[in-house]
Formats: sequence, C-alpha cells, structure tokens
Amino acid sequence: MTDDFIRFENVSYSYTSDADNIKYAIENADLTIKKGEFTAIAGRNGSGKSTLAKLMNALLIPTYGKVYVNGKDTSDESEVWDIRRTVGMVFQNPDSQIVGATVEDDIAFGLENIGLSRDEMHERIDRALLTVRLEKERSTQPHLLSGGQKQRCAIAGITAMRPECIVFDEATAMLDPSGRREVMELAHRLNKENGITIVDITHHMEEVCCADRVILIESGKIIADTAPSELFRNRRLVEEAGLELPKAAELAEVLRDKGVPVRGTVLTGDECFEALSELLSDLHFTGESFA
Amino acid sequence: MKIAIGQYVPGNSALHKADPRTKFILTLVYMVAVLMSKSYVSYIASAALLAAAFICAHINICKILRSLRPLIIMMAMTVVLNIFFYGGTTVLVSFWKITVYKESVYFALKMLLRVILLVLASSVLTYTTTSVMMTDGLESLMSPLKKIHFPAHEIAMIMSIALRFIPTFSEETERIIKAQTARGADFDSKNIIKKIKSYIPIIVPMFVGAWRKADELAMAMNARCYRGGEGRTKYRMLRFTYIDAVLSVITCALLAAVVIANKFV
Amino acid sequence: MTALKVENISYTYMKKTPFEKKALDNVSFQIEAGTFTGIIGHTGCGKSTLIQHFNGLLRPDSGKIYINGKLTEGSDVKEMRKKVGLVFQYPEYQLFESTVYRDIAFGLRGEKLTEEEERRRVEDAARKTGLTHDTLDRSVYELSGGQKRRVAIAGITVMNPDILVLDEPAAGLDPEGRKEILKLTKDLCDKNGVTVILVSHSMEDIAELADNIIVMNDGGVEMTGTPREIFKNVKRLREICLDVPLMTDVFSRLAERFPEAGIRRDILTVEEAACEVLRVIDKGTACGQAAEAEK
Repeated sequence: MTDDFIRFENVSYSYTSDADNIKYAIENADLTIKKGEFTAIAGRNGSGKSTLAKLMNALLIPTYGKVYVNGKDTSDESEVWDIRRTVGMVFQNPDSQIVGATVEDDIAFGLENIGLSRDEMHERIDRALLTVRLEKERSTQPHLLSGGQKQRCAIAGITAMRPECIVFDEATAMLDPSGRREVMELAHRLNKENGITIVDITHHMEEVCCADRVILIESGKIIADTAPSELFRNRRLVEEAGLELPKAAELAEVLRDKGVPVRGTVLTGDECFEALSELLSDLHFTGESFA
Repeated sequence: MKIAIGQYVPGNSALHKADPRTKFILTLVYMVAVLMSKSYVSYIASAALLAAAFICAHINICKILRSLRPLIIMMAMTVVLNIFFYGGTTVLVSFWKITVYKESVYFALKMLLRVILLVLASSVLTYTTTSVMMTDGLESLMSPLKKIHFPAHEIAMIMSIALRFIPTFSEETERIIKAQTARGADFDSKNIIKKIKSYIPIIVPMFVGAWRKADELAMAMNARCYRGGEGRTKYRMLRFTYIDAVLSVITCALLAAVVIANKFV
Repeated sequence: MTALKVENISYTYMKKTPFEKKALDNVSFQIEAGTFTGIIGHTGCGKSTLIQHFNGLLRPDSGKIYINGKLTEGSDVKEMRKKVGLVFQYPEYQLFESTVYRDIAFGLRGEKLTEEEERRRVEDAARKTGLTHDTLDRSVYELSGGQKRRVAIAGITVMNPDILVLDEPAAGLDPEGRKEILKLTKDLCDKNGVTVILVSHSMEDIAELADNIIVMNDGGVEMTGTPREIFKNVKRLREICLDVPLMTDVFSRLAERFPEAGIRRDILTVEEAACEVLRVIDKGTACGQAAEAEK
C-alpha cells in the first residue's frame, strides 16, 4: 500500500436491484484519494456526486466493484464501524443531522457511540469546541444556532471522533455566504493544521477553486480529474457538466479569446487583480499618479 | 416573563442539581401522599412542602399559579361536578331541583386542591430538569427491564430526539402555514369539514418533511457510528449525592405523616 | 406608476416579552411598476420580515403600505394576497397535491372559475415558468429539485399577481438550475410586465438582474439606488457584512492602483469588465506610443 487513502476499484452503484431497468447512479468509477489531499467533487444536481460520497464511508456498499478505506474493504461488515470512524461526514441539511439537545451533548453523541470513557469525552469535547470556535455556544440548543454554527457543531461532532478524513456532502448548499465562508475556512484549517483529508462535494465554483484537485461527475461517470486551474481552462467541459466558470476565470478566458495575453492562473479575485495589474504595468502604467 | 407548564427554567438550585431519578421517584411518592390525604392537615402539609420546593428552586409562585390558567376550565368542571353530584347529608342550600350539601362542597374543594397539587408537583420536575437529564434518568430507571428485552435505550433515544426536534418542527409548521396562506389558503372556515380539509395543505408537507428529516437523521446517526444501546457509554453522569438523600428523607417523611394523620386525625 | 409604497413601517416581534426584538424600524421606500428590484442585506437584517408585510402576512405596528397607489388596511389582506404573490425560500416543501396540475391550481380555488378557464390559467402559469405540458399530470414527487421549484413558483404566478416577491429562489440549486430560475424571474418582469422583487444573498445575481436595489441593515433601509450606484460603496457594504460583485471589487482595486489609467469603478459584470480592459489597453497602447514618439 502506498499513501492511497481511499481507493475505488471499478465501482458501480444502483439504488434499485431490479435487473430489467437497472440504472447506475455511479458507473465504473476508478479513483484514489491520497492522504492529506483537499479534493472537490463537482457536478450538477443528480449527477451522482452524493452517491459517490456515501460510498466512501460504507453508508452505501458498491453494487459492483470495491471501495477500500485505508486498505479496508467497505463491504466487509466487521470493518464498517472502523471505517465510519476514519471517514466522517457532514451532510447538507443543518437541521437534520444534530442529535443532541445542546451543542456539547451533540458532540458527545458520536463519542458515546464508540464507547469512550467520560474523562476522554470531556477532553475531546473541549478540544473540538475550541477547533470549531463554538466554546461560547457549548450549552446552546441547536435551534438557536445560525446555519453556519449548526454545520460547525456537526463538524465538531466529527472531529471529536478523530477521523482521518471528512467528507462534506454539499454541506454549504443551504447556508448564506457568511455561513459558507465559516465552514470552508474551517475545512481548510482542518486540512492544513490537522492534516485531515478533505473531500468536498459541491457545486459552488469558489469552493472548487480553493481545492488541490477537482473531480467532475456527469451522469454517474467521472469525466475529469485534474487541478482546478486546468479544469477551468476547458469551458466546454465545465458547461457540459452543468457548472460554470468562476467569474475571474471567465474574464480571463474572454480576454484570452480576444487576444489579450492574460498570464498565469486566474481563478480568484486576487489572482484576477494580480494578472490585470501585470497587464497594465506592461502598458507603462506605473501605478503612480502623474501629479 | 411567562412560564408555561412543562417548560425547563434554568437554575442552579439543589433541586436542579438533584439526580433526575430521585426526582422522578420522589414526584411519584409525593403524588401518592397527596392521593392518600384525607384531612386538611395532610393537604396543608403537602402544599407547604411544594411551596418549599418552589422557593428552593427560585421559581416565583405567583407566576406558577398563573401558569395554571390553561387548566381553569378543567378545574372548574371538577368543582362543579363534585358539588352537584357528590351528595351528602347536611343541606347547605337548596333551590329548584338542586340541593347542595356541605360535604359535597368540602369534597369539591379537596378535589380541586388535589388536582392543583398534582399538576404543580409534576411541574417541579419539569421546571428543574433538562430534557437531556429527563431522558437519561428514564433510561437509567428502565434499564433493569432490559433483562426482559424491554427497549429502554431505544425509548429514551426516541424521547430525546422528539424533544430535540420540537422547535425545528414548530418553525417549519409556521413556515408552511405562511406559505399556504400566501397561496390563498383559508383556515377560518366555520364549516367543520371544510376546516379539517383546509389543514391538508399543511399536514401533507409536514409529514413529507418529517419523513425526509427522519431519513436524513438516520443516515447522519449511522455515519456517526450509532448502532443501538450496546457498548455505548454515557456523557452525562447520574450520581446520587447528599442532596438526593435529604430530598428523599423529606418526601418520605411527608408520606409517613399523611399515613399517620389518616389514622389519628 | 408606483406599484408598492412603504411609508415609515415598524414591526416588533414578541412584543412585551423579554424576547422582544425590533425587526423593522421606520422603513420607507417605493417601487415602480414593471421594474425589477433586488433586496439585499445580511442574515437577520429584517428582509424576511419586510417582505411578509407586502402581502399582509404581517401587519406593521405603525406606518402605511400602498399597493398600486391604494392604502391597504388590515381588512383587505385577501385583496393584498391576490395582488402580491410571495414565494418563500425552498418553496418546493409546500407542495402537497397529487399532481402538478392540482398543486398549481390550488391558488385558484377561491376564484370560482369554469374548468376551461382554470385549465387555461394553469397552463399559462406552467408555460411562463418553463414547465412542459406533460409535466402537469405527473406527481410532484417524481420531479427534480429545479422542476419542483418551478411548480411552486407557478403556484403563485397562477394567481396573476401584479407584484411577485421571491425569497432566494435559486438557493440550493446547481449553477445551471440557478441560471434558469433567475432567467425565469427576469422574463416574468420583462415579458409579462410583473413587478419583481428578489431577495438574494448573491450580489452577482442582483447586479446582473436588478434595476434598483434596496440595501437593508439592522431593521432599516441603508441605501437605495441602481446597482451601479450601490456597489460603488464597497467600504460601507463591507461594514454591514455584504459583498460586492467580484468584478466590482477587482476593478475598484485596479482603479486605486492605477489612478492614471482612468479605470471605471462601477463595473458589474464580466462583459463590462472585458470591455473596460480592452478600452484601457487601447488607451494605454496609445499613451505608450505617444511616449515613445516623444523620445
């Protein structure tokens, strides 16, 4: 085994077992995710990206093929709980994944399930609250939290279980921009500081831009697996998958089409600003006022 | 601030700190004492103990009495029925075909007192116990029944999830009512059948929503390694302390006093 | 003509309890008929409370609301609801009938139409919201998320409101679905003359679609104006936790860095941005040539 953390081997999955009109939500997927990577999985609604996510922690078992997590086969029932501890999952709806009556009770829920001692739980809950910055909300009831806070509470419940990987299954789809920012900042922090492997299922292009790698899904098939900067050079492919270019990348493409030499990778606002600054500097604009 | 019956009021009193199991059992003991009471002395003792409990929990008694308002009709019925139908020997007043006896008035007052004491006693429990403690306590009390395959853990889990989702569902109901009102739904029809029918646009989406949420929640619980009560540890600690001992002694003393009073007074 | 005029309205939730919260404080503005207005503001600024006043779901504690120039009273909420359609967030969760047709027709029950008339109205609403004819007889629960949302919007437009208010109609949809739903709202305004009011967190969408913007902050109106006027105030918008469109941000920074290039600060869309870059390059090249010639 190398540092392959999650490995899909020719995986197909169908929600119905009716042989006559079988329809695969995922078809012949081969895929490896390495330890410490930040991977975005993008595609239109109904493309199968959530199915792909649920195959990663044995919530779904492949109809054909195998999924391995840390070398363990997800279809092996004796490994299921170990796999789910290793790969945590944040779901889309903030309202239907919090079980506890307060934030701390919810974090405790997962720890109770894996049979930890009370002292251990206390320590882990304190740590998790600190990580997601919800120390003040410790005894708050979930319905009084904002959307972003609810998702952070769910993430705390997962980090407390010390997973190696967290899958965000459209965890930002129902949040407002500030909630989305909170959750994404946290995801990147967990990736950089704690070395947690992140898989982010999303159709928000800003989230895709910040990932190390992007996997594009369309009708259950993986149609691209590349770096975001590469993907967004292929406008046709992106649009075929029901997605759009980030505004900055779109501007760069439009300008390049018109023969303007925009250099480097342009995905974010900052990169766009830098590239255009460079362009204007070349044109003898010094950036200093004549006066 | 208004307090509703059954609500939890945050606090730090001895009653808040007491073990929920103790509170459960003592509430039952207290109820038995009230139901056994015959003489006014017993009622006064019971009421005094309850008042002491409210003072101890720092809950304003006036507000508590006001919270009984929704039960006024029930209490009035209790009084009226007992006055007219209990019967007796000493006639107090008599008019038309109705005779009111002295005994029936006494009895009616006793019944009223009994209802009030029972309601307030159970509310002391809910005022001082969070839903988490309540379900943990219940689970612990029911756990001996696990030996005869009674699903104690599952019942406690169902209760705690139900309590957790009440605010979520009430928000959702409000939203759906507003959405349907915006589509011209009319909920103030006088005709009873029309009235019931008018709630279909609310009930159907509520059920669909609840179903979807249940599905999602089950998935989320599964992903967090939930697999029933077996091998599960508890975060919240239930431990008997001297507070529980003191409370038990006081409540049992009341029960003993009531029994003795029944014999001698 | 003024379609909607709001005059000094205030509203407080849970009055006379410790949870009392002033949601709207002396709000005034007006919206012209046939225009497309965007309402933006940070979560909790009072947007949702405000739009519920437009069709009488909430009545203001004080202040007046005029619809089509007529002052509304508490007694004519039914009339208000016919004139102002309100589409809530995630409206597909309110669908309940057995077929798409019946669900869309729900809003017509009070109007005592003939069967043909009803069918005509439902089909008309379906067409305007981009639903195909064969969808009408299908079950709501067979449809995709985007289609369900169209059905929900059709359920409001079938009542032929003069004013249509939509709260985050594109929330949770993928980019393609978003684009389609937003185009639909724009078409309702442009082609059918409906006055559209759109509440959104996406500054990009608002910049692209709206004729006018109302910025809400802390229960009050912070500013009103055209997108170009509003998004110039980058600093103030940031202070009240709002973004500006990405292009506006990039170009206002460029304008600051290269003051001599004369870059416009009110760029809203990618198309405008591309034109502006080309214009500045032309100018820059000319300047460069002039400078060289001087040498």
